[in-house]
Amino acid sequence: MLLLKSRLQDLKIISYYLGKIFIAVGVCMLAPMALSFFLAEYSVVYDFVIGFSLSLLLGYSLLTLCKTEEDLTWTQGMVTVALTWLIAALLGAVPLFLSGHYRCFLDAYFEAMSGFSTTGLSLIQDLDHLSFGHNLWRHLMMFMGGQGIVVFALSFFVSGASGAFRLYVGEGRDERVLPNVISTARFIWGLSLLYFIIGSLVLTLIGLKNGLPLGISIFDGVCLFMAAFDTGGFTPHSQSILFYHSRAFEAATVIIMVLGALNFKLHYELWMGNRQELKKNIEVIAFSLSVLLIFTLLSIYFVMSGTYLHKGGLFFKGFYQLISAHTGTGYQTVYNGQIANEWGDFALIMMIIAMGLGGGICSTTGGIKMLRLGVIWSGLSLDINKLLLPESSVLVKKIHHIKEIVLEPKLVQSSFIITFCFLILYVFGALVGAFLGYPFLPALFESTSAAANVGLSCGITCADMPVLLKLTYIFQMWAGRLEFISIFILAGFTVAFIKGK
Amino acid sequence: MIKYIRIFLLLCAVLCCADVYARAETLLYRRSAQLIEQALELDESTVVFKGEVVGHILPRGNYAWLNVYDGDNAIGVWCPLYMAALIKHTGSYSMRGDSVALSGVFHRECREHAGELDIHALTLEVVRSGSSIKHDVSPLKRKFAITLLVLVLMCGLFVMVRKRR
Repeated sequence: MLLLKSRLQDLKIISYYLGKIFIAVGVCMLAPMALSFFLAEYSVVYDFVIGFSLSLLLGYSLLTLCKTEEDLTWTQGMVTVALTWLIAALLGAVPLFLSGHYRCFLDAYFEAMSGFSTTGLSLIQDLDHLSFGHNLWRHLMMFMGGQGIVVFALSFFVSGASGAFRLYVGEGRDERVLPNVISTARFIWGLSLLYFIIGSLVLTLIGLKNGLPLGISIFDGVCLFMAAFDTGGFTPHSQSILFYHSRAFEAATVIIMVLGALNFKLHYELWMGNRQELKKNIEVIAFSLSVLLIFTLLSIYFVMSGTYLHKGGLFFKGFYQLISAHTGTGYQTVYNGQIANEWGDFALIMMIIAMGLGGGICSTTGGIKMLRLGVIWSGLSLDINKLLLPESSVLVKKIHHIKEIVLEPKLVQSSFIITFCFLILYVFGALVGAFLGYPFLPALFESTSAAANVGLSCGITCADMPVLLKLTYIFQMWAGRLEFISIFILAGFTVAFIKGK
Repeated sequence: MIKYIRIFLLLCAVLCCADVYARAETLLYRRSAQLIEQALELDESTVVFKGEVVGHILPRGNYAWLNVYDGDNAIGVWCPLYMAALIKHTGSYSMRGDSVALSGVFHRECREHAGELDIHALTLEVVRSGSSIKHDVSPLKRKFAITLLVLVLMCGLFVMVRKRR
């Protein structure tokens, strides 16, 4: 009924906020444009001039035509977020497509969506000859997407706090680090920038020690940090982390990936000196137990099957891939074909579980997330205890996540619903893959990788894959990153708009 | 009868030659996809590989890492520094790297390098020298970019003037 009364007004408000965000996306293209100019990659400069201009023209047009003073409602906020990610990827794909390294615009759009959603699946051709400007843009998209495109806009462009919160929640984050959502957004950016400086410096030094020239060390250090901390998975080289042949790079990226998978709220507590939180937090406990259990099973399997018989292989291949999968990063120290041909079904299943579970809520990872897993597990154990005790007894269960939280049925229910949606999304992509002729398990692996925004591949994702599968993975990356709610609301909004209700 | 025996012998000789030729072909050129897919069978065997050196040469004491790209994947090649010194150009945005042909021992899980899939080079030869890549800007792209930029500047001015009013 609300939409019937003000549907054009709804569109106007949504468009106005979209305009602000598109300008922010365009402004971000200035960084790769400047780098290309500095490195005399003049052809690339034009690619970014076109991308920048289109973003700003679209943004200015929406701001001018749809000028409004009104704050966003919940519905408008959710629709804004869902559309932001679809259209921002469209704008981000423009300079990529113009690079000539993609077979068609859909491939460039796939790459941009993969970048913004911090997935890391790639359809690029001949990455090793890509310009520095385009490569920086691929990684910058990951950084923006990891922090949240809307969070970025919130920090600098949106003044109304309530509207800002609606955008923040729509982007798949339902926790505030600080009481004010704009302060939260600024904290997330501030913290990320601090880690960015430290992490890039460390990776640069490792690069120098490994024989890379200074300029390349800095460039690779910055790019690798952005993609690792935002659990993205793009790298400047086609071999992913294998390119460096360096255990130091692998160890450093493991630490950065884990940092990226931690809840920003937990980071805040740690920076405030509350170290005890690490020992008590349900997400940290669930993540540690999951990694320990899966790595133990994987190690036994790898040794028994003869896949990896030595410590080096077990740790730098098995453990590295597991951390990469569990944090949703997608960095690889093995080739796609090795996962498909050598690892075997059991290892694939373990990796699918790790990818599907993901990292912390309010972090840059995708997937079901550790808090939900902890809540569902605690809810299950509460129910079993209730069955075992007399009916008259009252049981109260608490979980520790920053503070003590009483486990209420509503919390368990909401965690279960999102988990269920993720499971459906994983299976949906696998069924599409199987329908198109791929074996089910590899199809499930690739589908989970896309939907949980991981980026590990067992070889299905390539420029030759069917268009339907490309579209499916784009949808999965988008839906998985936004965690469904804003997508459902966009669908409802669209249907109501068409029906005129 | 002698005629038939001769024909039979001739056929056998042709078949043998064809087989030897086929074996030589597979021995000569291994594709990276083949190395990855048949890693178990080819483990610890001597292979011949060909491709473009991309990225950078990464020295490690008296040895160095090269990444050799054959159009499908890049494979890590571990070689002595004197071999790496033969390479003058490595592939990047502005450069087509030297094409090398090398023979070496293929490892599926190299014990020396923490389980990497790599080739330890025994011989290496530069078969084609690299060259710089020219990136011309198409006039259409240039015109389109400048037109859009002018439009953006006009829009920016319009918004600024409107704000002041």
